[in-house]
Amino acid sequence: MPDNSHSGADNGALAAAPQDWSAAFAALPMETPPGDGWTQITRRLDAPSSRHRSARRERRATWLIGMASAAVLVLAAWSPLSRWLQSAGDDTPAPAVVATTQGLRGPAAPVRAEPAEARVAVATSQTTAAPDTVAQSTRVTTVPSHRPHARSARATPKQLHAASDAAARRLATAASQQPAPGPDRSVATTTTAASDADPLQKLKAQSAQLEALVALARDDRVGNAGLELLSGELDAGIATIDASLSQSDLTTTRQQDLWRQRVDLLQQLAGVEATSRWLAAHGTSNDTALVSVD
Amino acid sequence: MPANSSFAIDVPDALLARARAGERPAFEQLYRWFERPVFTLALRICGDREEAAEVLQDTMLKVLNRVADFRGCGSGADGSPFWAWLRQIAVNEALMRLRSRRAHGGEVAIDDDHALEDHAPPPPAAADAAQLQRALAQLPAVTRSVLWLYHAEGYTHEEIATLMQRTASFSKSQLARGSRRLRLLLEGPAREPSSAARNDILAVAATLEVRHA
Repeated sequence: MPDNSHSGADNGALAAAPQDWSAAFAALPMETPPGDGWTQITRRLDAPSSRHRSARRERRATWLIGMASAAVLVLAAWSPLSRWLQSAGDDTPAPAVVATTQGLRGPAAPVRAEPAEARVAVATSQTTAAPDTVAQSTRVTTVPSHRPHARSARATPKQLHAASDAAARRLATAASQQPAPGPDRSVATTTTAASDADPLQKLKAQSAQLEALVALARDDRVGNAGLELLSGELDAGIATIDASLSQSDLTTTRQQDLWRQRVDLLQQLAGVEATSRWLAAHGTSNDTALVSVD
Repeated sequence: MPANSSFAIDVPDALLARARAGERPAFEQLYRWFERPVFTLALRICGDREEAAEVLQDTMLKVLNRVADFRGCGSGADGSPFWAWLRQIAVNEALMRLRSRRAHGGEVAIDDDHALEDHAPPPPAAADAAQLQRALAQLPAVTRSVLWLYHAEGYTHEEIATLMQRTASFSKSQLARGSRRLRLLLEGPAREPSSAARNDILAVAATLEVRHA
């Protein structure tokens, strides 16, 4: 360090009078700061990097939570929206149906099917679907008969991803189909109207959409015991309905009831899976929500 | 600027370049060189060692964080030297603390009396470092700051006015009154001996009278 100590610093005794105040002040010894200031400086210099790291982590977590929230909102909005679209044009509200499904450990909770609301205004948009769309929708409804049985046969994430991709492709194909100009339009309108008029076809299409939704939301890599149990119960209920639907001597009314139950169970399952994904993304669980009963 | 400012340390350009590159040892070197000047300046302005230590920390952190933005050179050959830049940061930090504690109430009353500037040389007692420090400590913080910035660091009245967000007239008044008060504080004990010293003198005189008798 350069030697800039003052000449008068070490001279405590009275010396000759300084010429001016500047000389008097310059002769004062420099003060020494207490402690080791450099150690504190290094500590404070290192602090911002750790703060930046934690801020980056917080930003990433916030982004994940935001994405998960958006996904949950989309999932939550999708099911009522699909029901609303499917029920468009149906002027006659369906009666409320209370059914009992069979779970793994006995009868499951009664499932209530809400009466479909009449949505006349949407009927016009429904008629824009091309005949191919209807055919595609019909083909999708064959899924229940090929559905893997309950939880034990649950698809791997890769398979689920493929399934969801296929479902998305089907939906995209349906959406990309535009009404053909000219005479074809009347044919398409007639076919779609016929499909809307058939509640069984409507339920099957709705069920197919919910299947795709569940495949999107489901991730076997994450989850907790409570939600897994609930999800398993719902899977078992759907499997029971599928077994009932495979019988050949079902009346049309019975088929409609079973399909309605299936749609309701699938809606609940979609909600459970979405909640599970949300909790996993949030880094929490709902274990604390469980209540112990003595 | 007087050459006797304790900040006037030429920093090698190589060291400055290393500090700009973020080398911690270069930072430490700069800190070791300037810690005492910064602490002394802060102590003269704030009048409190603890507060001066905080000013030192804040000043050095700012310097180390902004050294990459410093465009001058170490010795000031091509413009403003590094030490002047660092001192400016230190003065601003210390004055900011002074303003924040609202110490301006302790200023010496201001009149436009800076015409009565004290050009006389300081009293002999000013050569006693301890006595001068005690006298300085008795001045109001703002007055002491003006005295120190003007006499020790070589700032002009205009520069002090800018630093303290006041007028040049304010700086001149503070300097004139502060110098007079400092002189009084330094000369006071010499002019008026303490009662104990007076008693000693009387006792010696009485002894001499007895001996003569």
